[in-house]
Amino acid sequence: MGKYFQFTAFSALILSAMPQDVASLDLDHHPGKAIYQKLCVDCHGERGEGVKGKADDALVGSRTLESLADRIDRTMPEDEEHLCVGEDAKQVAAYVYDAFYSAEARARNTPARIDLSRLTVPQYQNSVADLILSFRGDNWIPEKRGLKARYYGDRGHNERKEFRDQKKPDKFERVDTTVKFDYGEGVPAHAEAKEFSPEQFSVRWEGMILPEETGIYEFVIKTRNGVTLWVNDHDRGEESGKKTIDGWVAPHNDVREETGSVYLIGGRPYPIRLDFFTYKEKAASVELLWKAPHGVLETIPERVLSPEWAHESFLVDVPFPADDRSVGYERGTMVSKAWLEAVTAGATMASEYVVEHLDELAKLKRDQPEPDRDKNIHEFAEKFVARAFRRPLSDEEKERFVRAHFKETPSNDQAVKRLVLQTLSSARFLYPDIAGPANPDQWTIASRLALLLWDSLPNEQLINRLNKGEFKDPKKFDQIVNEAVWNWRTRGKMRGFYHHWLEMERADELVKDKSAFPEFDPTIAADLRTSLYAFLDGATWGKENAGYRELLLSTSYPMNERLGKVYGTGVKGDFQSVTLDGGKRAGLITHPFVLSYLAYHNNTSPIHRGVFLTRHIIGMPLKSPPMANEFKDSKFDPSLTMREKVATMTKSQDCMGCHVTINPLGFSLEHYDGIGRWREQDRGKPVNARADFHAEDGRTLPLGGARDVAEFAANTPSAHRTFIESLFHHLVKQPVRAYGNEEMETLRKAFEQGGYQIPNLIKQIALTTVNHSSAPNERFASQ
Amino acid sequence: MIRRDFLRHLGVSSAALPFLSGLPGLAAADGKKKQRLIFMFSPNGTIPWEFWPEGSDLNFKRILKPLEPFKSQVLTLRGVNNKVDGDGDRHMRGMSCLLTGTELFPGNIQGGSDTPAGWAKGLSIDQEIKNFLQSREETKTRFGSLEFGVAVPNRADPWTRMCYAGPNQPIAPIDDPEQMLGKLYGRMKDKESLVSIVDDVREDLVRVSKNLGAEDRARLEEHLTLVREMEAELSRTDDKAELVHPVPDIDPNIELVNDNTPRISRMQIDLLVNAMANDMTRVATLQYMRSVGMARMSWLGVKDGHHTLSHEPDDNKDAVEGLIKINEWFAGELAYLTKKLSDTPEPGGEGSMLDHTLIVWLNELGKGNSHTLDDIPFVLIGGKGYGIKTGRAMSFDKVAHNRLWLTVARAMGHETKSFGTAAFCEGGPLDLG
Repeated sequence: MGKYFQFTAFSALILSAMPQDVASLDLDHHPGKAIYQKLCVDCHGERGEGVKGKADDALVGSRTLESLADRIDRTMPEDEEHLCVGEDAKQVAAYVYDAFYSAEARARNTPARIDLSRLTVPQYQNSVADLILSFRGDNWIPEKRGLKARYYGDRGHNERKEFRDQKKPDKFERVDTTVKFDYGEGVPAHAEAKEFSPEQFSVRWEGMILPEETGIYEFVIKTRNGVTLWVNDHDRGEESGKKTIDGWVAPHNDVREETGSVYLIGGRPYPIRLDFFTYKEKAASVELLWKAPHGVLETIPERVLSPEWAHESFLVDVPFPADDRSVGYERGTMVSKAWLEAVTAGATMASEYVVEHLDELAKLKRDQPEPDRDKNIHEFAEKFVARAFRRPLSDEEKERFVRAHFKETPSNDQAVKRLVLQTLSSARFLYPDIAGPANPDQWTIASRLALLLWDSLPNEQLINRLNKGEFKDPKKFDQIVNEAVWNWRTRGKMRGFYHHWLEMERADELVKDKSAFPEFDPTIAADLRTSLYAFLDGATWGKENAGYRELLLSTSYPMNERLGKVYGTGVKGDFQSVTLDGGKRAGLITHPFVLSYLAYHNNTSPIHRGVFLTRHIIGMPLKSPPMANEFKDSKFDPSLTMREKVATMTKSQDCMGCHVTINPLGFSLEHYDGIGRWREQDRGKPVNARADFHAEDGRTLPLGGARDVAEFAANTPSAHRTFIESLFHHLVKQPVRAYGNEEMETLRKAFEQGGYQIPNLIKQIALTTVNHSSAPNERFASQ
Repeated sequence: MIRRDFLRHLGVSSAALPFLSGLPGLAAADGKKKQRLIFMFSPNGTIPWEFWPEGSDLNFKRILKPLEPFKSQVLTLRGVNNKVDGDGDRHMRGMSCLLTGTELFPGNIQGGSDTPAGWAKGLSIDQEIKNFLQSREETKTRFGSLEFGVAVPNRADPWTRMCYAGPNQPIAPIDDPEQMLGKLYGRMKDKESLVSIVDDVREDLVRVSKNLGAEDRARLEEHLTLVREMEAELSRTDDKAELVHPVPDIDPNIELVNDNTPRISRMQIDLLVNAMANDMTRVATLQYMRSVGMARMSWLGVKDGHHTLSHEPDDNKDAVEGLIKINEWFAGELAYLTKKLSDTPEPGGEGSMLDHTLIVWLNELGKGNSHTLDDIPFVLIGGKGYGIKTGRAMSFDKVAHNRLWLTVARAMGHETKSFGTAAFCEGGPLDLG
C-alpha cells in the first residue's frame, strides 16, 4: 500500500500551476476530506504522515494536481481501485494536495526559516586568507598564461661583469609556457644567448600559479643542476622565506628529483618562483612538475601559470570535520568539539603568522620611532578586528577587542597575537550575520554578498564603494553586485557548486577495469577532470556559447591529444574545444568524465546515470530503494546487454515505482560506454537507447537518446527549478522557501528572461537575498 | 604537514602532553648513568698562539681564559687533523666533513679555486650516536637530537651544514629561538595565549546571543558549552607541574639580526640546557654562523666581518687582536653553556648535569689565513665517567679526526670500528683515558 506514491520530496519544488489562494481554502469542510477520512486515512494517516506497516512514507510529492488525481483514480485504494474514481478521485486529490501533499502545503505546514549559520569550512578558510591578504592588497587573475623567465649568462642571476663592462648582451627575458628544458651540453636557445657559455648560466622563472583543487600539492623538479623553488611565499628573497624546494646543491650531474609539498586552496592565485643555475657541470636540464590532488605527476601546464606576480596567501591547513550536508547541501549549522578544536588551531596558526609578518602587514618601517610604530600597530589591530567582524567597531568594541590587549601586556607582539586569537575565535567572526542590526545595514549586505558569492568577507573594493555611499544608490549597487559576480573568487565558489551538483566526489576513486578499458589510466582520468572543469567554466563564464542551455546542449568539449586518442578525435597538443562523435553528444550529461564516474568499473550503469538525471537534471525527487538490491553482473546471463540486465533486475512493482522514471533516463545514455565513448553495440547487439519517459506533469515522452533528455531539461521549468535550487543552496546555504514562497518563481522568471545566463542568475540570487531581515521566520510565518 | 597535526590537538585534550613529562628516565632505574653529548661549532679557525695551552698542564692563554672555572674538566687535543680530501674548498670540507669524516660528492657549488662540490657522502657522528641511542628503549628520547643554530644564514650549502642524516641529507639547524621554543614547548605557549582570551570569547558569546531568537540562541548555546569545556580543560591540565624544569622565561620574539647575536646565543643555550634537563634529547649541536661566517661582532668593538679578518696576515696586529676577541667570545659562550650545565643538578640523578654531559668544541679550520685543516682546535669538556681524563692538554702526531669520533661514540656506549672514510679510522679510537 502506498508504494505508488513514490515521488516524495526533500526537495521543495514550488509549483505555480495552482494559483489558488490557500488562505481562503476551508480545508476542514473540503468535500475531499470526507472521502479521505473514509478511504485513505487508515493507511496514510490523519495528515498524510503515513501508518507504519501500511503506507510507511509520508504522502508528499511533486506531482501536479491532475497527475495526482489520475494516479488516485487508477491505483487507489489498493486492490479496491473502483471505490475512488472520477469526480471523487479529483476531490480527494484536491484535498490531499492542498492539505499536505504539495510543496506549498508543506511550506505552510512547516515554514522554512533562515538558520543562524557559522562559516562553513571553505568559508572559514577563504575568510581567514582574504582577511590577511587585505593588508597586502588584493590578488587578481590575469588572462596571460605562462611564466616570466629571466636568463643570465652568469651562475648567480646577474650579468657577468666582464660582459657588462664590454656592453655585450648577457641576459634576456621572455615568457615560457612551461618549465621543461634540456639544454644538454649547450646553452638556452635564444637569439640573445649567443654569448652564453655552457660552463655557467642561470634562469629565474616567476609568476603565479592557479591550482584548481584544494589539497596538498606535491611539487617536483627534475634537474641535473641547482634549483630553489618558492610557492606561496612572500619574501622570495635569497636569504629568507620558506623554500618549497631547496636543491641548490647538485649532488651529481645526473637527472635527479627534488620534491616539496604545499597545501593550497583551489581557485586562488599564489606566487611562484623557480631559480635555476648550472656551474662547471657537463650538462644542464630542468623541468617543473606537480602532482595535484586527484591529478598525476605532470609538467605544470601553461593554463595554471601566469607571468604576473601574486601576493602570498596565508592558508589554514588544519583538518576540519566535514560540514553538515544532511539537507542536501553543505551548511554551517552544526558545532562540535572537533570543529571548535580546528577553529582554535586555525586561530592560533593565524595569530602566529600575523605576528611573524607584522612589520609587513602593519606597514611598519625600519628604524621607525617607537611611538609611530605603536600607532601603526594599533591602527592595524583595529582594522584587523573590524574587517574580521565585517563592520566598523563601536568605541566599546575597540576597547574590548583591541585596546584591552595592549593594556594587558607591554609586548606589542603578544598583544597582537592575543587579539588575533580572540578575533578569530569570536562568534562575531564565525557567525557572519550575528552582530548586525535586525534590519540589515550596508555592512550586513556587504558581508552577505561576499559570503554568498565568494565564501569570504568583503574585499577592499567592496568596502571602499560602501564607504562612498554607493550601496544606497540602486543603480550603483546593481553594478557593484555585477562586478562582484565577475570577481575571480566567484569562479572558485562555482567550481564547488558543480562539484556538488554533478556528484563529482564519485570520481575521487575513479579506476576502471584494465581488461574492459585498457586505455583508461590515471592520466586520462586527470585529463577528463580538467576537461570537465574547463567545459563548465566556459559554459558558465564564457562570452559566447555560454549559459544553462549550452551546459546541456553543447556537442563539443575541451580535449587534448591524449584524450583525443581515446575518444576518437584528432586533437594535437593541449586542450582545445572539439565536437565529439559528429555531434552525438548532449552537454554535461554526456561529458566522458561524468559518464565514467556514473558507471561501473567494467561497464555502464543505467541506474547510476538514471538516478543522477532524475534528481539533478530533470528534477524529480526519489526515495531510497525499498530494499537493498546490489547489482551483481555475475548473476546474469553474460550474453545479456546492460539494459536487459537492469530491466530484469528492476522489473518488480516495488522497484518500478521509481525505476519507471530512472530506467528510461538511464537507458537513454546506453550509447556511451563505461568511459563515455560512443558505442553502437553492447554484447554484440545493437544498443537500444529508446524508452518512454513519464514526466511529472503526466506527459509521456518518447526518448531516443541523451539529446532528448537534455532538450527536455533545457525546455522544462521544473528542470530549471532544480538547477536554480541547487545553485541557490550552494550559494546561500539556506532553504529557498525561507525567502518567501515567491522567491523560486521570481528567480525562474529572471533566469528565463535573462536567456539562461548563469552569472545573471547568480546576481539575481544575490539581489533577492542579501537584504532580507534577520527575523525572516516570524515574517513568513505570519503571512 | 607535521605542524597542523601538532596544532590539531592543541591543549584541549585532558590527556595532553604525555611526552613532556620530565620523569626520570629509565636509565636511572637500570643503574646506568645518563649520558649526553653536545657539539658546539664556531668558524674560521683560531689564533693558535693564543689558543693552545703550553705543556700538558692547562695554562690557559687568552682565548680559553673564560673556561678557567672549569679547568679540571677541560681537555684540549692538539695534532688532530681533518684529513678528508677531494672536491670542495677547505671551508666546505672543513664544515661538511667535520662531523661526517667523509668526502663530499662532486657538485655545482664553487668555492675559491678548488673543484666544485656537493653534499657529504655520509651521516655525521652526532646522528650516528643519536640513531644508536634512539634504537634502545632506555636511551630513547622525544627528539633524539636537536640542532641549534645561532646566526646561521637561511641557505643550504656545504658551508652552512655540518649535520647529516645520511649521504646527501644535510640537516638544517634551527637558529630562531622562537621556532625552537615552538618545537619544544609549542603547545604550552599556545595554551598560555588561549587561556588569556578564552573567557572573553565566552562572555562575548553570551552577549551576542541575547539578540537572537530562541532557536538560534540554542545553537549558540551548544557553542558556548564547548567553549566552557575547553576553558575547564585548559585550567585542569597544569603542564608546568609535569616538567622538571619550567619553560625558560625568554621573550622569543627577537629579530634575527647580527647585533642581536649575543642575546640569541644565550636564549639558544638556555633552551638547549632546558631541553636536556627535561630529557627531550641527549644529543645536541650548537652551530654558530657557518664556515666562512661573516659575523660583525660590534658588541666586542670589532667592526670587520669575521671571515675577512681571518684572511689577514699574522703581522696585522689589529686583525689578530680582533680574531682573539672573537674567539674569546665563543669561549665565553661555551663557558656559559658549561656553567649552566654545572649549576643544574642532574634530574633524578647524582651530581650536576655537566657530570652527565660531554661537550665538544669544533672549528672547520685550524687557522684562518692558512686555511689548514690540521690542528683543529678541539676542546672537550665534562664527560665525567666517559673514560676521558680531563684537566690536561694532549698532543697527537697528526692523527685523523675520525678516530676522535670513534672515541666519542665509544664513550657514549656505541662501539663502532669505523666511522666515515674507513682509511682514516686506522689505529682505532684515540686513547683519551
